[in-house]
Amino acid sequence: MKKKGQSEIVGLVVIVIIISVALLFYVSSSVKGSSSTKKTIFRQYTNNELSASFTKAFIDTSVCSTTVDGLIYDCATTKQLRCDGKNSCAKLNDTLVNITNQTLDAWGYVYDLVITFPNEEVISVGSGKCTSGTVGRSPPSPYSIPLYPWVGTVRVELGICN
Amino acid sequence: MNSKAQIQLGESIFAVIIILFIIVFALVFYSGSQEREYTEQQKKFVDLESISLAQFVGTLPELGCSEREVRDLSCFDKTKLSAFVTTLKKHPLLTEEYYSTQLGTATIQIAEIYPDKKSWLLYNNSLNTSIANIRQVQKPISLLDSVTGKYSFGILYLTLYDRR
Repeated sequence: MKKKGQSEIVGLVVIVIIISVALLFYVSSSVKGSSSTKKTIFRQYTNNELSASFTKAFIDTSVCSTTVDGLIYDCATTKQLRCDGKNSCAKLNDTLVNITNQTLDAWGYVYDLVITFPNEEVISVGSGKCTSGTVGRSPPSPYSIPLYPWVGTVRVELGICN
Repeated sequence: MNSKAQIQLGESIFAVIIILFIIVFALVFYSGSQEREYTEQQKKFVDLESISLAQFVGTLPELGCSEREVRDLSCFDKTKLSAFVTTLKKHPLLTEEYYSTQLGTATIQIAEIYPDKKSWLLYNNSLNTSIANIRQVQKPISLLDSVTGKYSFGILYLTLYDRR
């Protein structure tokens, strides 16, 4: 009778172990599945690539007799350049709004594009919901424009939060 | 004794049924999680294929601009784009054969959006039947007018079609 009781206890323990292992497996697989589906490689790639290529293409774009790069340089230094009856800072802002309206806004992206000058002045477009430190913001590829022989650099940064 | 043996047999059968039930239950969960993992893996491979295709388009020397033989990967030459479209129209079979093996089922279009507006349809091989999924990549690019030396802001639209 004693032996019978012992064998029943062993059977019970085996069943409990099997159930525990099954539960552990189920919980671990469900946690793994939910974290991997949060952000796909594709989404990460497109956001990072979009940020870098947008900044590069924007900086290189020709405006009047110069480029956006030249507009930024003039806006940060002498403000002598005139383009379509506007000074460099106003033309820079116009160009930025024009291009983002047709691209990032039209595609429904949540973004913030910020041009930071050495004197801490900024020109920015976007929703204001994707500033530095926002959770889920793809790491922007900052573009720096040196102002030599003046001191400092201008920083152009596009953050995307989709 | 007979009835005791019957009860013991019943207990044994009950225990076996419970154990079988647990094993089946575990197998169902295991196969379910494996299926989910395989689907994720498959999606990753499709994503990687899309990424490599987007990179490939950016490196096509027949479309890009270069300065002193240095290729700018985010720049396309407008003169080359127009010439490419004309060549495609003149010799559709010749070019189709080469590019369809390289690019597969996709549509590639470049649009100039600032300061002027113009677009070039470079490649169009959309499946007429059994499209499971369509994914689009938009890549901002520079467009060089090699005559004036001025750069425009443009977008490379890459549409990829996944077979069913």
